[in-house]
Amino acid sequence: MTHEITGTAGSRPRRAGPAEFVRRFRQWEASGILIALIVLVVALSLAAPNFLSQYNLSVVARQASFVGLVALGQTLVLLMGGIDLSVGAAAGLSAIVGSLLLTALGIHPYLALPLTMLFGLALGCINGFFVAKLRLNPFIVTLASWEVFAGLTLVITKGAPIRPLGEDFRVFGQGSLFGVPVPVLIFLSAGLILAYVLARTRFGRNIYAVGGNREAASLVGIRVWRIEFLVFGLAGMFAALAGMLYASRMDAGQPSVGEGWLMGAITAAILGGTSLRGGQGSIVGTILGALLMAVLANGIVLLNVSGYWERVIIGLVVLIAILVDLWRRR
Amino acid sequence: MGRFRAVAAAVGMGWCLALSAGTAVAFDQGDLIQPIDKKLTFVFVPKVVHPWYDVVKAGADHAVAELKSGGIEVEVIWDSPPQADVSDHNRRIETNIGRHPDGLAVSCLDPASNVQLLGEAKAAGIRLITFDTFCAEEFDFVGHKGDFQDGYDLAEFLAEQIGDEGKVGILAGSLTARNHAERVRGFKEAIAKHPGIEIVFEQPDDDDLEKAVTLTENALQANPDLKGIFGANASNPIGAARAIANAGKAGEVVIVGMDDLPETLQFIQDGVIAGVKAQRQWEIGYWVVRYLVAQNQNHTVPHEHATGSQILTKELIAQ
Repeated sequence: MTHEITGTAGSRPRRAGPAEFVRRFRQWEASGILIALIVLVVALSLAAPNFLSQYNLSVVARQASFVGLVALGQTLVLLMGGIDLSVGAAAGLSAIVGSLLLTALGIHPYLALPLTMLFGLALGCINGFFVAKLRLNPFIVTLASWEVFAGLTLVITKGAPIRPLGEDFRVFGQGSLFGVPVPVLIFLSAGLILAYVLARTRFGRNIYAVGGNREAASLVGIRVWRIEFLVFGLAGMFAALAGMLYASRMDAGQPSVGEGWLMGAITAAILGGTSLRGGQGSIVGTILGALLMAVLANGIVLLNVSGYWERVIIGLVVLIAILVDLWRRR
Repeated sequence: MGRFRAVAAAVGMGWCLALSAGTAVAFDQGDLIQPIDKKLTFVFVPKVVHPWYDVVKAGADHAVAELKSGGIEVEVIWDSPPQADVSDHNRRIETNIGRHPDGLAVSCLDPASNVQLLGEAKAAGIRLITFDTFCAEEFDFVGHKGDFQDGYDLAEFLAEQIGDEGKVGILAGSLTARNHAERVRGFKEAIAKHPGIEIVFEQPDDDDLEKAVTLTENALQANPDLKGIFGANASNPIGAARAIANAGKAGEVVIVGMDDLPETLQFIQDGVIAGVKAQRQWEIGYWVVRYLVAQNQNHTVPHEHATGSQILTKELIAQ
């Protein structure tokens, strides 16, 4: 299975001829999405005068980061051949629990954020337990936990948001460093770390191995259940991180946060070349996928596309990306 | 003669000086008003794509046509989320701040998180009006704020219709929508004053018509003697009406709810829905456009314009 990850990181063509470069580029699972992203960015720069403004670019990047973080966790699950439908709800529940840590318990933001991520990890591990230990279908398990998490959010909040979350907490969602919003920095750092883990560590290679062929992985001595348990836990943790960053951005723990993130996260991963069957895909692809979705949504607003048409257009773009993917594999 | 001329000249100059000095200190408040010398672009961000906003849009379009005949060109852009999704809604507000239109009108989907972004819009110097759903005191508002009162009035109306006794149910709308929650609160507070009336079910329909149908069917199964249903939004009285009409109980179960969508009006005429509190949302669209233009001219505008609501019944429609 390891040959499939050669394109994700650290691959260098031995002979750097242009033909070799094109061949490598076509092999790379994220080549389609990169082309689509470049085309879209160029088109929008020409069509929408505000698109390239510094404010707009930082808004787009920040918007990509929230769904993007959820998508990173989802990518790991997909690579392993699973799926996690509960990520959006886990983000919402974690954001509410985190907001309570900040307000009701008065815990310092720098402690509340990692604590909330641990809470998200625990939520994910619940999924992991059912999938890995009891060998239940992840689709069904996470469909159930999606309802439970979303329901608990309403039980705790009665639908009312928790705010304000305090001056000190705002830096995570509203702050910026050298003009780059903090959520974007966190998203990209998380992506870099994950890309490294996938390409260079045994844990990462084992994820691909489990996704490629579960039985074979088990036969060669990989402890499959540990991988599955941990990966679902990580998906919950990334969802919690995204939920908290969004709460910080809005200065409110909002019960309905994350409702729309599930489809976005799956779409970003698939656009980036991650296979629903597992074993194939990359973190770089997912990052590009999240960016493409955010740029597309931004363009739709800037170009005044009617709300009635919007979902049609998003669906068509996904289709086009899949067609480009088809070209790549032929 | 020479002396007279000199005196006259001196007097004349004195007058001129006095006059010019006079205009220098005079303060004509009319000068504060700035002429509109370009086409204005306003962006409306509603909560979701919904026929209710089509009536708001009709009012806005009417104002645009009126202004055009007065020589002021306005373009109104509707940036509507396809689903009532808080992150999507906030993303649109954020993106429109970057676009910097001449006016921004926002219907708050989630006041708690919208407040943050609307504050940023104002800080960026964008002329802003909130409409439809009240958000926070710090922003100008055009719309109907009396959600609690609407629920209360509909409870009184329903009590009268069912002879002050029997079982009633509540379709509570979306649990995260403050206006729905307020209407339910008002309804329950009024019903509490009628000891003969019992609330036997209260379920959220998430502003989803199909779900309202199912919930009503279930409620009828559980309570065959149900006398009345209160719907906390625009779609659930229709859902309730479809279920009741289907069960052949039109008129037996009294339905009250919100807003005058075409299907609702039809059901009122057919006697399936007894009455709805209807907002005058056409007015909302009209005045938001008017006020945004006025703000661009540096006029003052009301901080809050209550557009009100009334109970629509079969008799009232017949008039």
